[in-house]
Amino acid sequence: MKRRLPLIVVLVTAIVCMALKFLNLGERGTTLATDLDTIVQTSYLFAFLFGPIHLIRLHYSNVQKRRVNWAYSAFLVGVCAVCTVVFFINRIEGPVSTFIIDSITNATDSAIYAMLGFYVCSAAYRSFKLKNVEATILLIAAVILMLGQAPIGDAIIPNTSKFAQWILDVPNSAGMRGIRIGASIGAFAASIRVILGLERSWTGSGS
Amino acid sequence: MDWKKLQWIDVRILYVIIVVCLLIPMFHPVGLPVAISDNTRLVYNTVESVPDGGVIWVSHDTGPGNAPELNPMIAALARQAFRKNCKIISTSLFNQTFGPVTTFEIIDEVAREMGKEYGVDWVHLGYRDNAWPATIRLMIENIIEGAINRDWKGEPLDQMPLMKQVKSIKDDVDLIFCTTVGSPGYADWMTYVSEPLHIPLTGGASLTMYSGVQPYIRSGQLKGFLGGLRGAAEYEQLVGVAGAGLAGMDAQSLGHMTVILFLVLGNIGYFAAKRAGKNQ
Repeated sequence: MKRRLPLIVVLVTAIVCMALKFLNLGERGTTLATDLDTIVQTSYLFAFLFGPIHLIRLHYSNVQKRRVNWAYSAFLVGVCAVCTVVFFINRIEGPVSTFIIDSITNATDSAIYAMLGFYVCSAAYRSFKLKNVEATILLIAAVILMLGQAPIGDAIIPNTSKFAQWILDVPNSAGMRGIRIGASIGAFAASIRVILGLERSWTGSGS
Repeated sequence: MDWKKLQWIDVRILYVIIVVCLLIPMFHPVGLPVAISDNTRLVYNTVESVPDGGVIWVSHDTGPGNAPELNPMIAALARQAFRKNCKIISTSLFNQTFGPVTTFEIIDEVAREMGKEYGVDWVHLGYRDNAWPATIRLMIENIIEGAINRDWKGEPLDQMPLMKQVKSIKDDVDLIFCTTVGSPGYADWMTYVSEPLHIPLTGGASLTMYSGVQPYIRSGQLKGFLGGLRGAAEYEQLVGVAGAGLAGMDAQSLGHMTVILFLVLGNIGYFAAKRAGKNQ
């Protein structure tokens, strides 16, 4: 029953949601849909509680058992403890909380993202070589797009930005449509398997 | 000269050159003209087509990493909207900490400059727990109920004059303008709000996301979409106020040219090595 109950919940919820979406159930249907939305909101709030608890348990255990890179885990547990205390005492809009968010969290996040730009440049320099036809097409498209995304492109070769836009509009759109249709069919098939109970790995019992 | 070495230049040299190229335009802006694309013009016209005094729902769904690309779009939009006396209701659903604060700061700065009042001309709902689509579906029917009657600072929404006028997304919102770096983003707004309710949807995306947006612009589901810093710069030009978007264009020009230069050098080195291999 421990394994079967979640499968029954998923099946019933899926049938109810599909009925609400595809059938006109009137006022009762609208009320039920609103209730379901409220249930989803409430369960997400529990996830906000369980997430940190699991995170701390995992990393605390890393520290206790001196696993590889346990120092990072100790740092994470320490930061979590400090932030929790600060945010409770200082509130989210207080000066210390604001300092933590603006000057540490956001600054670190921005810095990591900015570093990606350097890695991309380095990777492009190392790997974009005219080795074969496909690589040549990729390189030419990349150069046109880089020129097209900056005003200097039009200054060097007029209408580069228009050609770059054409690459995005036509070949890129065609490719993206193919990828999206394929991914959607895959997601649909995976959802059907979960709803019918054929895919059970999420219950911890394997397929 | 040993041309082969050109494909193995120390990347630290590349990093230093890029930093220098990004810094130079900050001190000596060149101000190259930016050609305006049809997409950007469509975004501008879509905002312009909102009736004077209409309501624009702005969702600045970004984190700190993509903010330099997307923040200028929100500033320019706020300027265009307030110029038409449009009302703004804003959310920021992608990031709990950065998004709501930066959204408030950007719109607040423009609003103060243009003499608009918080609660009367605009309201900021901030971050809502990541329960897509439940939260927004509740707001579709009743904004105050979906937002638990609180703005992002915890002030009661039912006391604000704007919220007495704007009750629900489905009946009172004329346009949705969202920025996108992931999910929640344009795809969620399109699936759950703009398509079922026939509310026009436009906005902007980081350049890395932009390739995924194109099919929806071509199908008409998105009324144009701004692409990265370039899109922001074009939009600023149309709105008529130079901001961070246009300021970043020179840096982007020099940065891209540096990468292209290194691609050329790398390929010269590659062919030199190939030729040397054949000759041996």
